[in-house]
Amino acid sequence: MKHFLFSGMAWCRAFLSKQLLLTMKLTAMILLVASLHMHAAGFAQNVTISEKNASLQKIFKEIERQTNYSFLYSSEVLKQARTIDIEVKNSPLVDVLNICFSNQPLTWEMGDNIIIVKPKPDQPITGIVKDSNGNILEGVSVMLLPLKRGTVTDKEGKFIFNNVPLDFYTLEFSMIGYSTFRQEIYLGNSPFHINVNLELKIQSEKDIVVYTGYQSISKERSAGSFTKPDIQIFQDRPGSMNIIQRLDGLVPGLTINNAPGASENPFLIRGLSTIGVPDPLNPNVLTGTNRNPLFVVDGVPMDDISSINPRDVADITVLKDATASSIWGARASNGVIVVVTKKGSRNSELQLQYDGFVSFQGKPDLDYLGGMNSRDFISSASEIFNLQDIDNPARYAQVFPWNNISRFQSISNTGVSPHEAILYAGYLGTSTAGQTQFSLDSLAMLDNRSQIKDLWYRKALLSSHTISASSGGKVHSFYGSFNYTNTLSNRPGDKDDFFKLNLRQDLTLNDRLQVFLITDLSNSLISSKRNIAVDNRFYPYQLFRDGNGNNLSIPYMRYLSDSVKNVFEQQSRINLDYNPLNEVDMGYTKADALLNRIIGGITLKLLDGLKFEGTYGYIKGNTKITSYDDEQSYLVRSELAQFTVVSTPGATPQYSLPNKGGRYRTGQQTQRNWTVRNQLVFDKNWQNNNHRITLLGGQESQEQLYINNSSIVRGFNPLMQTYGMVDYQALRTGLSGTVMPNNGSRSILINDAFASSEIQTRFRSYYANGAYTLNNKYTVNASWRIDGSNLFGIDKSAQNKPVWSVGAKWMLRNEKFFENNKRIDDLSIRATYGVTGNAPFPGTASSKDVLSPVTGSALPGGTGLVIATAANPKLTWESTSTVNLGLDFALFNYRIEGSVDVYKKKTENLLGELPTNSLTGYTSIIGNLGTLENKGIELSLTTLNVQTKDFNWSTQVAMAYNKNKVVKINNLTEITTGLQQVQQKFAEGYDAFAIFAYDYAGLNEKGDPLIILQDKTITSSRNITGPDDVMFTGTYQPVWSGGISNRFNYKGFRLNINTILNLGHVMRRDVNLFYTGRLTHNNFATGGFTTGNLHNEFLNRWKMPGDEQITNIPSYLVNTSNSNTRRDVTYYQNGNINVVSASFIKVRDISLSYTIPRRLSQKLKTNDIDFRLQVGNIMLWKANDFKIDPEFQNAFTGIRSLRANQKTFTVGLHVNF
Amino acid sequence: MLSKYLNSLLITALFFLLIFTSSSCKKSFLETVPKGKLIAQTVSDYDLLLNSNNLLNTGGANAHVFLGDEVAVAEPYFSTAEPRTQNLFKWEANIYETSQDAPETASLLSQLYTYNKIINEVGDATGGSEQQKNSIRAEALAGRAWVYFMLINYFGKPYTQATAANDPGFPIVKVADVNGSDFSRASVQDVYNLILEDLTTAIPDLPVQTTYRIRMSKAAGQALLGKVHMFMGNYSEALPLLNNALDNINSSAIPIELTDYNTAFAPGGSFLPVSFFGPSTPVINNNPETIYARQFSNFWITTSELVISPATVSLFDSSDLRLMFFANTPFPIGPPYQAGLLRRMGPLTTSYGVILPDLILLRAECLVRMNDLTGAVADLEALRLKRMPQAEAMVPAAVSSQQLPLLKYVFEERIREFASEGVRWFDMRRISVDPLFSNTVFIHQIFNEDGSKQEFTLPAERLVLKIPPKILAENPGLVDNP
Repeated sequence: MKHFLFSGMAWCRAFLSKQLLLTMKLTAMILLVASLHMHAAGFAQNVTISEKNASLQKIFKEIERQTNYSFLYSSEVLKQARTIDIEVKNSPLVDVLNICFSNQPLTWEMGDNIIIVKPKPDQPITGIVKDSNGNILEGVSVMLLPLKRGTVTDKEGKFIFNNVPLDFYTLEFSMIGYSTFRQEIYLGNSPFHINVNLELKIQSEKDIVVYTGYQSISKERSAGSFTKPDIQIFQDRPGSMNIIQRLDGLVPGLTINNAPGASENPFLIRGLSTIGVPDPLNPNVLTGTNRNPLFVVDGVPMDDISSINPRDVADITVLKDATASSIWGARASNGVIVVVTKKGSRNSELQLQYDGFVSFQGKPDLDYLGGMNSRDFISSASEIFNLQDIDNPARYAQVFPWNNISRFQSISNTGVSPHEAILYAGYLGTSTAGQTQFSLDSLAMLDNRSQIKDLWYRKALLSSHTISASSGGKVHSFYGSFNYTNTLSNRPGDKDDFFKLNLRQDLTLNDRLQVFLITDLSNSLISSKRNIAVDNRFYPYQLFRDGNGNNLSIPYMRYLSDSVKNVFEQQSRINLDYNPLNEVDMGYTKADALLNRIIGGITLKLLDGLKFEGTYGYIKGNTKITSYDDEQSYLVRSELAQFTVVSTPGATPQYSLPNKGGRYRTGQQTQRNWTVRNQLVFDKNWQNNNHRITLLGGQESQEQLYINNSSIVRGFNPLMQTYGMVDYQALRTGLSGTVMPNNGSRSILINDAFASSEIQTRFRSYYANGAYTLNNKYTVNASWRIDGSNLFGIDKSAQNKPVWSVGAKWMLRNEKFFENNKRIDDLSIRATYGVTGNAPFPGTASSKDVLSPVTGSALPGGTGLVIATAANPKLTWESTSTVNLGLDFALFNYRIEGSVDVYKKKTENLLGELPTNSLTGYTSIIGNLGTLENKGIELSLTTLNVQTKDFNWSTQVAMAYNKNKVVKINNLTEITTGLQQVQQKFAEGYDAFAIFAYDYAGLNEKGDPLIILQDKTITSSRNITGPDDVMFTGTYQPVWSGGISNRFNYKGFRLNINTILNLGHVMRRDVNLFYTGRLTHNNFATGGFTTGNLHNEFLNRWKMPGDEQITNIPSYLVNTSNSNTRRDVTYYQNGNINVVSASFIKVRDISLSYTIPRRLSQKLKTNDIDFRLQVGNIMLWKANDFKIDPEFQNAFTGIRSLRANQKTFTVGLHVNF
Repeated sequence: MLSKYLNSLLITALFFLLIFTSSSCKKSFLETVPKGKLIAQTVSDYDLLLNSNNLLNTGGANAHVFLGDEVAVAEPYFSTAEPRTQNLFKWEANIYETSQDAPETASLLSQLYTYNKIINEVGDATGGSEQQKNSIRAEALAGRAWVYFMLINYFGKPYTQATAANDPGFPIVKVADVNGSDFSRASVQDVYNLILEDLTTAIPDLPVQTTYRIRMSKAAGQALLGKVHMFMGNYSEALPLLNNALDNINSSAIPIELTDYNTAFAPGGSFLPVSFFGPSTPVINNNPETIYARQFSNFWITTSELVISPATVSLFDSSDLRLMFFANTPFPIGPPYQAGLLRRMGPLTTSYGVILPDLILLRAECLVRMNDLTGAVADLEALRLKRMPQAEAMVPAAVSSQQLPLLKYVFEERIREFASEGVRWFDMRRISVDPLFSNTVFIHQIFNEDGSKQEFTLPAERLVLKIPPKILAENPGLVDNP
């Protein structure tokens, strides 16, 4: 029995069980014949009949005609009978009757010239179920198919089905934690008894099939490094509908870094293997190369897999080394994650399932961001307002004259805040000292924290419901699901509804031809109102609503101080109030995204072992974004004021933009990706599986096309659908004499009427792959691939890049010397080597100058060309070579099972921003920057710790250690200063994602930061450090990452505790960044409402000589120029004392499930009902003393971000109908 | 059985055919051109490459504004000014921090890359006539000459024939190659030779008509070459070029003329209203005084430390309408400056490619030097008439009749015309090597709030900027200026 269970080959099991069945049929026949024989004795009448597909009734009539026997039966009874084929010549009656009644649920009895036909008597089916060690198993669910009768085993492991008509049946035994076992039986005239031993559900290697996206191959037969996460934990993990997030802690070597500074590398397989180039639009974002693993869904690469419903996922395979992933060629350098969605199995009953959950995620933790309270803030602001620098007498109000700060200068400025206005009024003498103090005290009494929390945030909620159905016949089978997910973000008024319909159909047309088709439609409807980004980093005293419930206008937070606002309002006759809470409803942005994923495939058997496979994927998406800002919104009102001319004071304003109606923007984002893949697969075994060979070769073409366009109209009337005219020709040259000029003395309107962009990537690839296994002991693998792409402006020779890999595996357990070893169930070692590539995005880098169009009013015809990317003739692709050694083992009857992988990954010709000699005209270009090396060890371990009748406990450990080193950086110019070194994330000889810091030595007697140089001198001077004067403090990517999952089963209860850990890395902590200049807030466009407040640390800064004994925090100097020549405050900000450990351990989730007893669920006409309760994200331990959650810390800049989704609570329900 | 086998073989063969033909028949599959990006191939591509804001703007390359001796600085604003501003004004040796990219090289060198690309490649471009190619190449050559003219006047000593061959100039780069690394400073003479050669080659092929100010025309090329000769002291060679340039602008397709401030500032005039960013002057491409548009950003307009010295203020007649560009208060408004200092209010960007007032004053200077005093006075008055009421516009008789006073008057007129816009720095460099003005001392003054002042004298070696430290670090072999 065990042999059957652990046979990886389904056909083998089928073949053997068929034989068994045949044996049983024969036995039944012999028994039947024997029991009937006594009736037959003494009757010698003969019959001749030849009938095909005839009813018993017809045969009986024929027998009655030929003999003197009559049949006695009720027509009811005969309804159960089957038609038969019979060909007898002069056969004795008894023989003929035996033929007639074989395979019939009927029996007969002979009387005087009468044959009585009656149903066969009922026989019980009984059995005992035990585990593989012979322990009795209670509560095993036993199903009798196709009658769909169910029962469970009792305390003695026994079960019984009574009143079962004689027939063929399938018994299905299932229990949580054990492999489901099916047995076909024949119930004849005697009771049927069966003894079953259930095996614990531990997947042994033979059972594991790995999917590379091109083929599925038994893990046993590949030397590659694959990991498959526990799909049960994956499925049970609500709280996120993102597939990758759900893999956290389940895959050794997959690092999921949620910290905001890691936004470019949230998912890393075996460390970083590409650096990338800064985005021209946002230099803090690296782009230009694919940084994430390649995601493959049903054989087709997808850039964004957030639309895949985790419930539809049947299997996930993570490909890590070259042998596993090199089949994906130029996109495989960062590893590959292959997702296979569910399908209906052939010859299966209709199965209906419901799965849903509601996750309560709460409000963000606003207090986490810190910031002063009003009293501290006002006193600090007053303090610095009256301060005189030691060596520079000018005070705050002199350095920043009132006339300068209060006047409108440009729309990148902002108004004067209330506390400053009060302080200046006191300084300028427009209010008395008493009035000033009173006003400041009033501000110090106000606290807006509760208003921010209550008016600007709500409790977030994520809920998702999936209904799925699957069924299969001989020819056609399907799996279909419908999902609705509602995301209620923590911002009031935002909506996010997601609908998805997924259908997979499989057709088995004949024994040669199989076809499948996946049609997957998703629709996402998102809308948001005009909420402002606001948190506790805003002025703590500024309320949004007064005591009477009126929303407050705070125009200073946009462009205008009160005095200027009144003048502009009079001139333009436009209201320039800014009331953030009223603004919320004055505009919206809506997105309607539709994504179709259509994947078809064909498998055609050609010759023995040879088949043709075609995969054809077509992904088409369309997102429509509409955005409207009403004429009442500040955006529209202030834009109008920018284009209002008042010729003489008091004259009627001339509006150059429509003065009625709002601003309406529509955008279309279209993507169209297709893949055509044709391949031949040869798969054959010889000599009783002593030789097994799999060969695969094919060709693939892919295209990804993204088209974006958008248009804006002004003066839009949403009811009439009309819009106003704008004279772009005149306004882009500039309009002089406007009330509120946006560009020096004039206002300029950039021609934003229409914008369009298009990105197209094409690949054409040829690939081949082979695996050969000898005597079930030795396996060799090899693969090869060549990719051509439409990389633009690259020399032809660099376009085609072959990648390849080789691997070998030795299955030691199958050797003779292990034959009698009872402790070791599996043991094999693997070794692979190979090369994979990573191609830059088209247009990122080029061996020729890439030009892009520019527009401008100064250019002839309005357009021209600029060099977007300077040519680098030496450019080539990134390539990664990987050596991987692996060991797979299973011990003590599979109670301990796992694998260890050791790898070394070397990425050469890293694409990056390469500093060049400034004299060439460019200070940096895109080029091959250097070499990275990743070394690491990964452990994956599953243990079954306790196993008793009712209770079992298993543990899964996924641990990875990764050491990433920048081996070489081809800086054409040397790093010559400490400042440059501190800004390096990738420095030669150090870990990637390095954090360098100054060796901080406290403050001098003026409150200026001191550092220790390499030669031990202590200094506060600027520009004195060389690269050797700063120290390496560590890397900000986790060195150790992984997870531990513990699962406990007790009867119907299931408890999962998933803990994740990220260890060994460092981060900068948040420090005060305000040491000089004016205390003000940012312009609205740059996050105004998240600025203004001070870090609490500011209270403890150096204030007077002697303070250097008690604090490390530099002094505040009013004069920025003075501060920037006398000292360097970044010595403190980037000092080693502010680099702290980022290690932490978090419980990602604890989930408790309860499956109600089968007896109960069957009463409810269902098969299974599961309840789930879950809590998520509980910090267990963190290494830093500053209450920093590293998942919400930008490790490089040291900036905290708003903490959300911690300590979430989820309830879920799963029903199998 | 056999037929079944053959059948399968046939299907297999068919599929092989399908696979390999489907891919190989479409050779162009990978040869797509991304939208919104291209590689220069046609003459028209190279033509459009000359239409670029990157060539128009040199951004913060404005060191010369603060180096001129016509400016002064006012406290308390100066002590809060950026370190770079303070260093420049104090004529310090070190202006930049070690890792800073100096704006004086950054945008000019990037323009040089574009010009070199066009010069070297346009000859092989497709789809245009030989004449078009020559014209585009000529524009690029003249553009390169302008770039080198700026660079040599930042970093090379003022041109003197006797020492030019030995004075270190600036590295000559004639290829567009980012991988270049071997650079050394060519002599001042070599750089001037390159400028002369580029312009001489270019002028015959340059468009006769000025159609777009951003593009180089024959008039602009001649004016530039004339100016270069003036800077080299070759006045006799300069004069015909300046004459030709002034003649050629008459055939321009767009208006090139002096703006009459008398009407521009009259009620309803085009320069009104005057805001705290100064008069409403036209943008560079609509400015009729611009022949070849190149502009830098004069961002001290929005700070308050930069003023013109009392000596400069005293050069203006009170009716001079150019004073409309100055305010006696800090930006945007405030209490009046001490000592009657004036601050330039605008424009935010300064036109400094080839401009008509400069061209006229250069010819006036040239005429004085060639001893054609009448001609010089005519030029001067042509300009002055557009800048102030007629009554004050005439050159005083005491000046107009003597060569040296008239020459000085021309230089003063240049200060009046271009105060706080950086022109003076380049004139100072010329004056420093002009035997007629030997022993001229240049001073800078810091005015404290109480009216007292501090003075600096320009050291001789600071007539040149030092090579930015970042470039020195990248090129260890490069010789720096003392």
